[in-house]
Amino acid sequence: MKKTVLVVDDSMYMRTLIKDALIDAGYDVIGEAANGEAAIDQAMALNPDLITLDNILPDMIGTDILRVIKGEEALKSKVIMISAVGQESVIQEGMEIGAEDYIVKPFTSEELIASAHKTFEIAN
Amino acid sequence: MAGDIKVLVVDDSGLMRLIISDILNSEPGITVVDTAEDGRIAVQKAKSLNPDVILLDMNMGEYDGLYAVKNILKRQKIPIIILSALGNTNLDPILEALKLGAVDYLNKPEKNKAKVRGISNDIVRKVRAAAKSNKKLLSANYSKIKVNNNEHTFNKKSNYDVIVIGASTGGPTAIERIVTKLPSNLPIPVIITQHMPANFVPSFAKRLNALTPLEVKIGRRDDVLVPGRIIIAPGSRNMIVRRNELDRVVVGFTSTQYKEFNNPSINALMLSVANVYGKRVIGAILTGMGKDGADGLEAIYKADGYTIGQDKKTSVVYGMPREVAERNVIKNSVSISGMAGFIVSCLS
Repeated sequence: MKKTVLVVDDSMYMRTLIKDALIDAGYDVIGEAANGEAAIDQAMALNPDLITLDNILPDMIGTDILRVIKGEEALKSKVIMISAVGQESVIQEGMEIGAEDYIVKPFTSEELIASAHKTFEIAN
Repeated sequence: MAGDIKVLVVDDSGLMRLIISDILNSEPGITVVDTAEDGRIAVQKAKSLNPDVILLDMNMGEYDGLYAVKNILKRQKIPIIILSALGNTNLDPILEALKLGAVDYLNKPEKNKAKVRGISNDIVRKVRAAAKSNKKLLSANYSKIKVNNNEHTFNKKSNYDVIVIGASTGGPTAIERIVTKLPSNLPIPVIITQHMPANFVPSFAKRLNALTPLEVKIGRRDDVLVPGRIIIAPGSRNMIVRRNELDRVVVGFTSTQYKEFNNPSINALMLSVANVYGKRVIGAILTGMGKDGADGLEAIYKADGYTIGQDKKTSVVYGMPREVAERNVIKNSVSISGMAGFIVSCLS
């Protein structure tokens, strides 16, 4: 079974980039969200295996979304946080809340896939 | 001789086959194992002889060069160099051949066939480089490109004001893969030097322009570097950038000649970019033989700009990227499929 993914990023360009890379690596991207509210709605509705979560969204920050998602017992989703350089405290906070991994921009699609594989213990 | 680079020469002109074979056979370490007069025979001989390199004409009647490229690379990983006069008038079939996996191309002089001797050094150099190219990348499947021209949300003002790219062998396809994955609202300009005969550049720029909502044009004197504009160096001179009286960065040209490569020189462009923009530059060296661009990228690196080299795995010829990697002047080594996304993620 392919692992299902929800991609959260306010940039359509970035969502497409992440989606294409994940699909090429054998993942099933089942949803996309451009803001925090949509991210939480979609996570609840789809219960994906993985969520890639950009930290800066127009309405919420990623760590707040992460708190909601990790607080829902019904959700099994693993989360990879994506943040910009200089947000080390955010990464620290995200990992404490329960994110499985994080990626710092600039990143390559190979780093993203390596992180996703690591999350599910799939050999690269 | 054993250990020689075995070459198959394909051309519909008997005289051309004779001259090219003579040029190559006079070189130590290169042997022409056979010739073919059209694409169909080329496919058969490629199969039976399994040469190391194929030198291929394009215009050969029913079974042309494109037929040969498609049908040879379907079964065998043999580096193919296109040697055609077609590039003098219409580059599209040649770019198509490169997309299908041909490794390089050369402009054949028009009319007087004996003039091909004038480019014998280029032929020999390209045959030697092709023999060393990355065979894994010689496949029609490699050309499947996913386009991504969607808008990107640039959260803050970028740390960079320009993207500069240098490429040689394998570059046209690599550049196409970057340009097709740049967002339509790119907030900074892109300036590119691709080693290419001057008469190829207009078709190359036109082709790129059709693939992206961004504006692609050949650099002319005093063209302003504006956001979202992609400027390609003409093949006839060494393009640079300079700041004009109004403090705008514009295209210029220099008569300075460089050691590694000229008309166009990647070093000329990158050195001027480092000089004008300082650290606000993202510089990338893509696939290609030789060392052009290494001095320029080093200048960008030393000015604290962001420097990238194409990775070994996806470089058709890992020459220029190897040089910048070995000099330790790159901050990251990136695959060609991830290059555009990586650059965009540097901007936000």
